[in-house]
Amino acid sequence: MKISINGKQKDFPSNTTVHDIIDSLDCIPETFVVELNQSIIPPETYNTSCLVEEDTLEIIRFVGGG
Amino acid sequence: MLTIGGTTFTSRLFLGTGKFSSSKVMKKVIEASQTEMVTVALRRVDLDNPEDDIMQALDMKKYTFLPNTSGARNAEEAIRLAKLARAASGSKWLKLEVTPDPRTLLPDPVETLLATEQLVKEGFIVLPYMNADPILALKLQDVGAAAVMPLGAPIGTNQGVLTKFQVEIIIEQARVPVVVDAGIGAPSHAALAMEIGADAVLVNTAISIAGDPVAMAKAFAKAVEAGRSAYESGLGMQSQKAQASSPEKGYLTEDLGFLS
Repeated sequence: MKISINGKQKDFPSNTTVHDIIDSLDCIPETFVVELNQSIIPPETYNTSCLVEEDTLEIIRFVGGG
Repeated sequence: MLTIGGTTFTSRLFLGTGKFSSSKVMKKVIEASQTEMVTVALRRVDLDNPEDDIMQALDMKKYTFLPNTSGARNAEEAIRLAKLARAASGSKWLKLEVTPDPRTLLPDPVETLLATEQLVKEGFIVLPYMNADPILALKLQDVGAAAVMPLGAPIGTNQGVLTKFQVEIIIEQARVPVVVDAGIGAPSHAALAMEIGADAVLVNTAISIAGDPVAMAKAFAKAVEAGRSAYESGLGMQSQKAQASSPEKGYLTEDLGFLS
């Protein structure tokens, strides 16, 4: 299924969870926040949030700024 | 001592964390500046290239964390960023930045006022970045801004407190702390802002792009302290007419009349 992550279209198998996606990246989960279809989802739900075709994920974190 | 949103600050220098050459330099600068409040921004993780995580270099327990909504072009985007910031950090603090025009990075007054009102209702401690408009400053205070942050000059320009006239009025009328934010390019600018009565200044570019950012941070800390002391000591009035500093009697020429 096609999922949009941070503006880029990527292919994932069905039943992929948010947790699976985060695992496949090389980031420390505690330092960022995830938006699924424009709603912030708490870390406790990463394991149970199953993604479906055309879902949009935003993975955001703090960077230097004024 | 300065109190904003229930938190007391000993240092009146707030620091931005943008444009540093590395997290390591940023960390040294923050320590050298003795600041107690730092701003950060929110951006997408670059999935192909996750870089240095700034959070490794920033101890959230040591500093008050002030996430900004940089990038927001309207109230809706700012509110969305604010909620992301709160979810990511647990902090209620927010530097509200609504800048629709990338050429000037000037803050939209209408959207800033709308967003401030909404975010205050949702429990944020809102520090809105604003143009130095005294009337807007009062409206922002009316809707619950914890402080107001008028600009000295556009972000990153290092031009100083070009808005001195307006900032003085804002300070005179303010019911909340006034933090001059943006455009401060040299310690003398920071000192000026403090001398005219600002409660604090927020500096980023002037330090991060300095030849020696750590030394510059120390210079800024001294300037902020000097400016504040000067303000509290009561600056002398300025005058158009010269007034002698040395005594006006007992001139040598009075007693040596034979000279004239």
